[in-house]
Amino acid sequence: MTDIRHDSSTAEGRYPADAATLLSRAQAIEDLLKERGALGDDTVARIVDTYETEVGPLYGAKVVARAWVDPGFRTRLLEEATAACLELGIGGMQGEHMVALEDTDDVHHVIVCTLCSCYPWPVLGIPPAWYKSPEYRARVVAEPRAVLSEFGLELPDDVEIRVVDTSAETRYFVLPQRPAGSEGLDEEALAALVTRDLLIGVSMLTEVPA
Amino acid sequence: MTSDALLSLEGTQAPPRSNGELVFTEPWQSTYFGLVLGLCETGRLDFEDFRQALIRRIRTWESAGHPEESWSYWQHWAGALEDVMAEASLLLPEEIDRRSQQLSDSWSHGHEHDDDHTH
Repeated sequence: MTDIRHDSSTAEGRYPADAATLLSRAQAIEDLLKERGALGDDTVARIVDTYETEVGPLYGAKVVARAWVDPGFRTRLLEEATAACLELGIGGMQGEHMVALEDTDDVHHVIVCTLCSCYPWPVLGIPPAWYKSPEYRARVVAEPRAVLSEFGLELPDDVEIRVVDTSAETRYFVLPQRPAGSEGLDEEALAALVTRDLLIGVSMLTEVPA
Repeated sequence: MTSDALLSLEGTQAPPRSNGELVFTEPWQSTYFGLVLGLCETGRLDFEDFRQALIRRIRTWESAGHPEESWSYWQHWAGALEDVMAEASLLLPEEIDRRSQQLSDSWSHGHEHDDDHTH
């Protein structure tokens, strides 16, 4: 297809940059696809609405909180995360092969996609801008300790940092350790402690905030 | 609801924010996002093909040595969508060019030409 795209303003490596052109182009694509029956009238609006209002780190937080209170669920989550998440009604695109990475006293995980921006959408929503940036994708692999320290996470030298790169199929997320002082909290209160950054691994919660 | 009120919502009603940062900063970004997922949902596209096209777009951009401040993830996303639609003969860039031009013409001149019609 390179012949067709030769000299086009949209050829690989180039794409219009101004918001007005991008908006009319996106709208043109949607209109043409609807006219051809490739998309339903409300498909795009419905999907965007779902991701804007529902899917997000809140889902991942529910999964982690359940794993903290229910050892059976924790085992199933570590064995087959996709199936375990479905028990809570959580699943969907980019979540077909999810793996939960268990943090311990000795090992801390952090996730990245070095090639593009693969991310477990069902439990985390759409990735934040920095996760997609060339800088994070390159540097977290080369110098994880320095990058984590820029996120405010200083790990002791004897804690091993494992940077896990998303492969073609698998989407990872971190199962952090349950923080100290959380013994009296119920599942909902525990979920409220779990942030997106904990699930990515650029943050850590050692004790319940005062 | 004003946009300020919308942005101050918390919990499940909140707009997509990732610890304070909105996921989509422009309407075109969310449309392109919905287009890709919609086409995967209807089976017109395979997400893995799209992902490979996205990787190619990003790699081309990175190897061209552009300054970091011109980075736009969603622009690569949009470009990758056009690449896979062309490969699948679903839509060609020329068709999109034409319709997009018509749309922007109608948006910028609509009121001048449509004054005879009732709105």
